[in-house]
Amino acid sequence: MNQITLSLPAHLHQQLEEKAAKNRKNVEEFLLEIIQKEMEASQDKPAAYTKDDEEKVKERLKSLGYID
Amino acid sequence: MTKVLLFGIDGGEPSLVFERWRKDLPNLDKLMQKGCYARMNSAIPPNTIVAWNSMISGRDTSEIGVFSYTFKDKDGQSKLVSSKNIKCKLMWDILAEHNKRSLALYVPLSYPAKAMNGCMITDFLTPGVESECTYPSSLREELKQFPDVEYFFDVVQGLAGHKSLDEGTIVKRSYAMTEMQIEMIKRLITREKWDFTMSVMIGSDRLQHMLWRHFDETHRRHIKDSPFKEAIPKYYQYLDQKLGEVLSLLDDDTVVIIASDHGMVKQEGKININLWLLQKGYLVLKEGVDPSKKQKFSNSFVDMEKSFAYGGGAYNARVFLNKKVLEKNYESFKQKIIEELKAIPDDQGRKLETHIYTKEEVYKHSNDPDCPDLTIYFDNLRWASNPDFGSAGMYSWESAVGADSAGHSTQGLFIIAGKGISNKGNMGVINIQEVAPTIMQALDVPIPKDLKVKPLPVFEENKSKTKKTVRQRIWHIFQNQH
Repeated sequence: MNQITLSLPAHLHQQLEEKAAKNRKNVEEFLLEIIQKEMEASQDKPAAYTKDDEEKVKERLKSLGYID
Repeated sequence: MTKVLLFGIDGGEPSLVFERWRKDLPNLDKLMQKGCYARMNSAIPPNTIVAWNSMISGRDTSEIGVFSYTFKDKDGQSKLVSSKNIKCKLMWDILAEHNKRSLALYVPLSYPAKAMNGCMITDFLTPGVESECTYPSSLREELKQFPDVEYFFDVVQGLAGHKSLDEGTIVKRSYAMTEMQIEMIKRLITREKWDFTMSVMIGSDRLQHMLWRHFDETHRRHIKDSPFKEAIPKYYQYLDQKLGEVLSLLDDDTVVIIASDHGMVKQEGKININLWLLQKGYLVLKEGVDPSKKQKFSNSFVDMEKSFAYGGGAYNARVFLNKKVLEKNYESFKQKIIEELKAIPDDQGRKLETHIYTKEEVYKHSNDPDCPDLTIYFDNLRWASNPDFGSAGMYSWESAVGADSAGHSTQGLFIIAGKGISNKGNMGVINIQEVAPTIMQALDVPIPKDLKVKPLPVFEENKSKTKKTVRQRIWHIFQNQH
């Protein structure tokens, strides 16, 4: 794995250390997890439904009161 | 090796199974007598897709990353959620890391099917049998052999809603659907290798939503002497019989869990949440939007430069506070509106037993944009929420869409029995997130370090799989010697 050095303000590093400890991780593991989650969330995922399929299922859910 | 079978009864109501109809449900009664059972606090909100996934991950709603059936995409469009929205590991993901094989059958929010160590047939959010509804995909061909495969995933198909069906058709199709689903459970548990099987029967939820007032004499819209008054109790008896058939195929090494995602409660009516916010002056509509006109509420109606809040939700209400306008008054406004929402009475002026959860108190990741600031259970969910416009006054009784007979209640049911499970009987109340680590302990799989919830104390002492520390072992030896 290619590694880079990241500079962080001391107070932020301390906060990270505390948060990471609470999650039973070291700072590096904790940061990696956050970054990975953020990257995954920002990626465009292929649509699960076609437009027609989505309408079909939405209509079913509306009739049950599951969606408004 | 121990196996776990989780037989889910969607909307299985604990008061009906544990008390009212227990004597008519011999297989469930036997499991309760042999093992442990409890009322189970559902997820917040007690929404089917959230609750089942909370049960098999041990995570809260915000960790799963799904708050309701729709979410806003990057362009702000409302999209239907799917298995691709789930942000945490589910039971079969965790078990696969320990070479354990799972069968995931009809588990809500499993569509589209994903590759896994085992087999999957997806849930009621599946568009149809030609879609990505199975893993491996070859299983689809087997489903297609059922003559009624159109109703394999749910009792309605296409653009027809449940309300477009008469009661007799709903009952008939619920049985047809369940029959096919049970048949596939039986085939798969006998021919596949598995360590964990989970199946969810959705027919119970559908019948209760649609037919509750036919049997509940306390319902304000009860239909006296309805020909469908026995439909729900008969279906519970039928499910119990089918459960017996499944249990007869299991070996003695299996731990059996019966669970529901939420219970059911009669629906008194709906509180028109956005009309209330409008009346209070907290919601300001854009020019040209007429709230007296019958129309579905849309966030695009809201003047975001002037509004403090806007609402949504179906069985529970959801209120989003507009931080941009409230700025530093956010906290004080939140407290004020909570008190005011709690003071909303019923249509006859009676006080309601309303519970309100703030996102900070119940969710680990409360900054998710889909996370409502307030989740409201009007009268503990006996009153639902109507966000739409066009109703006269604060209350509405029937809506163009949506079941009006019963909604979701806050507690489901949990029963566990089998190899290594103690005979504690009624355990009181448990939490839905506690089920996941309990399954892991039964299967001797390490519980993820960051999972906050612990396994339920259901294991026999001498068969407890909890690893003792060296100090505990020494202390145990010391105690036995003295």
